[in-house]
Amino acid sequence: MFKKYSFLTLLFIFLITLAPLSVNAETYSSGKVHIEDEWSALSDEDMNAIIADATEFSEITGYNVGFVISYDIGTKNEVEYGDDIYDDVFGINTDGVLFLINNDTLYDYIGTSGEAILMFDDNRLDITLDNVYDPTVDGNYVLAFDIFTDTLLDYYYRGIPDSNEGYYVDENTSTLEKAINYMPIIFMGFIGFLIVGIISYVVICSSYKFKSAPSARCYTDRNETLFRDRSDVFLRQYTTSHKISSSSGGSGRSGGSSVHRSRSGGSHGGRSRRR
Amino acid sequence: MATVQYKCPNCGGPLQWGAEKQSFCCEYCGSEFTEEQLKMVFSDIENNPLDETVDEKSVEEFSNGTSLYICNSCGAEIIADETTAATFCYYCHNPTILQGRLSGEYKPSQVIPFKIERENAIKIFKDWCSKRWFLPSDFKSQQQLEKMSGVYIPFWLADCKSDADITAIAKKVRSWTSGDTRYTETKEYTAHRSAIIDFKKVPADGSSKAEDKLMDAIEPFDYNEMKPFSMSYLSGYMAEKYDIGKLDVLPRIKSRIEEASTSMLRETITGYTSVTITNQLINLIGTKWNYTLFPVWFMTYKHNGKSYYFAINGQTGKIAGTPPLSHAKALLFSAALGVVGAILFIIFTLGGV
Repeated sequence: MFKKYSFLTLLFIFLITLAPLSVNAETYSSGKVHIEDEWSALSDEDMNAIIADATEFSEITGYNVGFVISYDIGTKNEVEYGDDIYDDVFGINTDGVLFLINNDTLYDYIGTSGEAILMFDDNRLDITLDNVYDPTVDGNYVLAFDIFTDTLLDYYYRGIPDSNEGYYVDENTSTLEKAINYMPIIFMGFIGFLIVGIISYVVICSSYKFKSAPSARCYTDRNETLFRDRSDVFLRQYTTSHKISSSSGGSGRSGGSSVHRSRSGGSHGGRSRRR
Repeated sequence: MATVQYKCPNCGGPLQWGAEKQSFCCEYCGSEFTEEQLKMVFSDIENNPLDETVDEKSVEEFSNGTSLYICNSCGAEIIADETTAATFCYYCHNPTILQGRLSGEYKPSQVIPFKIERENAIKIFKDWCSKRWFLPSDFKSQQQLEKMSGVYIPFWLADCKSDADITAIAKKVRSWTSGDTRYTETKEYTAHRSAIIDFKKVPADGSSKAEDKLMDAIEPFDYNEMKPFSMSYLSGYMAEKYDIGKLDVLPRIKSRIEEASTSMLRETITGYTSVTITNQLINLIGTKWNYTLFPVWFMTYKHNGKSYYFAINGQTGKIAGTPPLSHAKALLFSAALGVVGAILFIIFTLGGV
């Protein structure tokens, strides 16, 4: 009896001590990394690989990173589902990305928040969705996530795209707004001050200058002017020409981001794709 | 040298030409006399030839050009320079006309009497100043205005014909676009204008004391009010005789006539895009001269060591002169406007952002 209980006790103690070293195969959430496998598609090894990838991405960019493989998104669409998870885990308007592989409606979604909205515009997200499409369809989620982080890191190193340069996300309206650069405004104000001030001073000084005498024409009578000759003789005619340079239309602004407000009130960017 | 003073036949007070009333007034008893009445009373002065002899002792003692006169009223000695024809006795303040100064070749044929009284001249000047916001604060002080003096200035009037001839290149330019090419057609013409232009009574002042530009700027005078010269009009004012002869003022008059003739002929070349005068020839023919006296109110103002001269046409009230500018006031005002301009530029820039 005593031996049986001792064995069980030792086994229990062994299992307890090993518990922190094992990873829950369905959810991992620590600091800036959140992995959620509702599909139970990931093995421990897969999970660890994804965690390592996510951690590296987060350390380089400073962004939160989420990866969710969903089973049932309920009545929400993929955007709402993804944004809600992000906001619940990381808080609203924080800097980060979330990759949702939606095995329910098959609309996969990449959502962005905070600075990531500016960094990853619609164009970049579309390309990322293109890149992860094949491994996602094949069910190779580890590869899909690896490509996801690699693609986004590549864009991160290139910096904010030109389409979003000078913009910021208005958290009140959840829209991209052009950031105001105050230096040109101050410069224009100074130019305005100089132009108006100088013109004013010159006009004042000229009004204090001596006014010249009236013309001697006031001492003559036009009716008494006797014209001897009023002739206009044609000399020559010539025509010149030059080509008019046509201006090409300027390229329109491309990129940008589909910035929207989530149900919890955070501002998000994002793109989705149907498999 | 003798002086002439017109005294009121009623009370013996000094008679002065009243600009507002256009008659001769006694400031003591208030009597007024028309020109005809004055001529009757003072026919001996008006009709007798003016004494042209000069005291040799005076010439020797004042060889720098000044002369000594005795005031008829108080016997005081009046020193006047060689061009002064009428002045005031410094002691009894009676208006005094220096007989002999306006005789012979210096006798004007006509005169325009003063029509603007001293008070009106001061009012005109004050109104003129009120429109200028940036004058120094002490500019309109009573002390300055008291220095205003009414002076008859000698003027030469020239009647002449201008034989004017100009040649110009005139162009008609037309442009149009066809496809991606811009065409410009130019037609050139040579325009010739020749005319005889009659100029009547073109004035130029004959006094070196009066600044030429200032005298030109208070023109024109209304010649319809010119009267045959009489010394009586000078009473109550100062007067100058000419020290710049008609031949010396001829270049000034010629320059003005040339400018006017060219301008008049240029105006007749019409219907062109551009006109460039290539040759002009202006000759004055048949010049006749008249020597007259015109009324002018003068004021001199000193500011920061610089003198500013002002003149008011004593007949029409036209004012001329260079006002002193308070640069501090002007800069302050300009800076305030500049701030408004800066705000407008910022609003415009923000609107475009």
